[in-house]
Amino acid sequence: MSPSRSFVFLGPWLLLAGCAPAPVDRAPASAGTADPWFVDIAAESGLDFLYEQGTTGEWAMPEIIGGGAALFDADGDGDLDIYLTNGNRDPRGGVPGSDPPRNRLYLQQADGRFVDGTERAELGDPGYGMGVAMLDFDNDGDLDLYVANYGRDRLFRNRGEGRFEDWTVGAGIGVDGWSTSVAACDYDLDGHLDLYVARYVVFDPSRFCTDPAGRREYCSPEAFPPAVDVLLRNRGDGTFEDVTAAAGIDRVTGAGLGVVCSLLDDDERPDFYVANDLDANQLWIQQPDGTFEDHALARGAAYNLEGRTESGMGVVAADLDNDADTDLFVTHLTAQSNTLYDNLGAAVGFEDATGQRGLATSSLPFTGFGTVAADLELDGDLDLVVANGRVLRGERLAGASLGAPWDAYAEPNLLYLNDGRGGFELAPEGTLPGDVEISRALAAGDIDSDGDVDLLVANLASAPRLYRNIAPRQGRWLAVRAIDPALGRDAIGARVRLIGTPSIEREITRSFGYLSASDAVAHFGLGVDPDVQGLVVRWPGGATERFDVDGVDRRLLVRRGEGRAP
Amino acid sequence: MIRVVRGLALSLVVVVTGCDDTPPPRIPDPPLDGMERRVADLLRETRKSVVAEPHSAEAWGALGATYQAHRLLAEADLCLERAHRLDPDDFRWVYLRAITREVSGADGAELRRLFGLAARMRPDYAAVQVRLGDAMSSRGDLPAAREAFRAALDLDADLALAHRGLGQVLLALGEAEAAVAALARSLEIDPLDGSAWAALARARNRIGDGAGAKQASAEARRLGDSAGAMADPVFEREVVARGVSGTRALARAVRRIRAGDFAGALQDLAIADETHPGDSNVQHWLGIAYRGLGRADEAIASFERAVELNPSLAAARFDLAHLLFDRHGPREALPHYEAALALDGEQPGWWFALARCRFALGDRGGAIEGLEQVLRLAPDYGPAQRLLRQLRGESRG
Repeated sequence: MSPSRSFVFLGPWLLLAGCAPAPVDRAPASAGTADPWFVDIAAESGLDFLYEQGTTGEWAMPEIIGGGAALFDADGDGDLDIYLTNGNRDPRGGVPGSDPPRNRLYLQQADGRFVDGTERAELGDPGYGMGVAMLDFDNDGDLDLYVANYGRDRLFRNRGEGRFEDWTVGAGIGVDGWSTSVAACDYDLDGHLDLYVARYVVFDPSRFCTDPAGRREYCSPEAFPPAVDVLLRNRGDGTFEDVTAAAGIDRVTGAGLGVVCSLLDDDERPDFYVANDLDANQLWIQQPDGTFEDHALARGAAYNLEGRTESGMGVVAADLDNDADTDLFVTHLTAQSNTLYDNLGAAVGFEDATGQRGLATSSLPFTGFGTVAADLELDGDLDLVVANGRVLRGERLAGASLGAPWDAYAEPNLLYLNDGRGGFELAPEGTLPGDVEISRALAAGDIDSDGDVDLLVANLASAPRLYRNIAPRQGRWLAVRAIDPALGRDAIGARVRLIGTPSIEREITRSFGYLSASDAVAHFGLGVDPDVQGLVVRWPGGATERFDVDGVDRRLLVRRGEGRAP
Repeated sequence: MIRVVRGLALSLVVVVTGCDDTPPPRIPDPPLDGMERRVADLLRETRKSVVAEPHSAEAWGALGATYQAHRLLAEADLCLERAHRLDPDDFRWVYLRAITREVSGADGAELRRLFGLAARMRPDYAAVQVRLGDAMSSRGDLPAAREAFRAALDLDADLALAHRGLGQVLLALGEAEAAVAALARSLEIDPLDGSAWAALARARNRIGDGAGAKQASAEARRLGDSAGAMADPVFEREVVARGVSGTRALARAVRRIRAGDFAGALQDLAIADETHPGDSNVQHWLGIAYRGLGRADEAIASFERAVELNPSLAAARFDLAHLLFDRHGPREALPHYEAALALDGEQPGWWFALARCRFALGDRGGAIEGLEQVLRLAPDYGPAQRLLRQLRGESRG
């Protein structure tokens, strides 16, 4: 488990410059057309997965919440593999029973197809699956996996070459109840990745809920007490310590569904932001002594502009307006818009700028879950994708073909294009495939290694979608992977800033969205005529280094300690 | 002459109304499968009125409002639009349609038009302006929202929600000092509005008043995003009162209990109890309603049933303990206080009640321990400070 034994796979990554740039395989085209930007390759790629909700007719709430997904290199061969959580046949209690459906691992082959590698990898957890987090908790250079369940959570340790073992007991982890999204980051800056586990409610399957017309319906989270989130500190010896109470995380509860770890005030200590379902969101600001205080109310990130709690589902933390700070975007239930909390600086906090940024009206009819901020057409700003699907039945929308009762829950997903100043508009119809489904997790990564960001959508009641990006390119690109050789792993939490034009910053993280984990790469769209002179990496803790960049349209690998003073 | 003009105008109205030769839309007929019988019957009967009188604005409006009451929004929209077309002068239909469209995600321009029309019909009705302000605010048209909230305040200077809305919009517009003033005024009128406290915390933070922000945050956290209801008799009468499902009845019961109408709440809770058999929440509210009516034995029975159905329902356990303390004494109450606090140990008032109970049983040490918990959670809790001083004095004496 020591860094010297690491096998961080660096094959496709160029150590700084020196290799010929990859060709731009599609000519830049004008924006605003209805040309499709994505094509679904799930079926042809061999993704034959179906999330089993175990629906019993009892309207058990876990049936409508789950569906996690991850993109990560499970077997160290340099391409992205896929992990999908599965339900089981007991949505009331989460007990696997005999011969239960299991989570599935799909390994990408050299030809881009995926084959089921679950059994060999021993990753077929039979719990009632919710979210998933990827982290190299033992700093051995490969990615381990935390599965959040309705029921007992699991930690799987990667033994190398894509074989895993259940390390839950060995790690001293005993998280039970209803976990949802998980953020992995080194919050205490000791070199070991920790885990923040968002937890939903203390579910009581005996509750009988109906909609306003008196039809049986999934309960609102208000029907149950919120569960306390869990903070697991990595001791660095393969075990974790539950520091929830000691860190003060148990002082405020909420029905947590989404969580991100980022720098959300003006120091270098990582903070957490939790999107809660019908409870005030939490902005856990880390104090110098390693405890956390919830500053969401005073800093304007607890409620929307009208002062209302919303049904927070997924969340991303990213610089959406290229002003060098971290904004927050939270997805919500129908009749609530998704909400953009604009970061106005540490002294002020956040302001709900949803309406002013063009994000309000178009999301009101939909229930948003997974979300990704990525520069999809490479024009230099972050676009937003939202995976939608109701939790309360509604009118059947055109294009829904899941059959009863699920057609009443199916919705199309949304893509918002950034105007470069943080204003958004809905992409023309047809840009995103018009699949009308019950979507949940959304993960991002360059699946086909062509330099743009592809998407994986986990669905309930239908197969996942693997959307290959074919957007007309509006510019060049860079993808930066940041490694800390002393730790033998990706420098999660590092911030990469481009020097020159465009001057933009991205964070290295896998944990954002809803029940999902994505590839830990700082991906930059550069626009049509970039002048990138270098990049500065702010490593976790605040030390900075500058690296030269002598070309674009390429993947770069930067190693801590091999740069120079900025 | 005046008579002639009036006559012409009347004729014009008649002609306009009578000449609405738009073919009547299909009367919405959503599937009633799975709905509570009471709801299905009501929808069926109300729809029959439209079938019988397809040119009656009242019939279409009533059907639309009934759909709206049960959150069948597409159907409600269609009916209310028809009602408005048949009687463009009836404030109710355009107003209710504006509300339906707002919830359905209409854009700002459409809502400005609909609420604007409603406001012209009833320039005295402040709720229109507050709803317009909220709609504009959520759609990012902050100047329009500010104007609407100010118009509401011109009609009713003591409308807490309008002061709050104005304060929130001013804060978003960067006018933090003015926002503080508006929010403070809102809280003078309704000090229990947690959302106003939250906005005040942000506004004070913005003007550099860290201590004030912290205090407002604490209040906001204590109160949640609770806010007083806005007087909106048209919506109450036309929509809320038409809701007959268990869910709607339960919501109405809760509002009635908060307004002190326990007898009315009991009627609604009877519906909810019938449609949601075995729901611990309904039993808990039943207990609260019975308690409000002074029917202690029935209240205790309801609280006990709630706890039996859901042993982790801390608030029901506490309410049960409190009533047992009053009716049967501390010995019966004690285990329930302890159980409630084992489930939720963050309520200073509950610790105080436990301390009183222990004190009544002669357990001074236990009472002191409970009071220390109160003051850990709420250092300014006066009665706890006094009782603790008294107990410590007696201990020393």
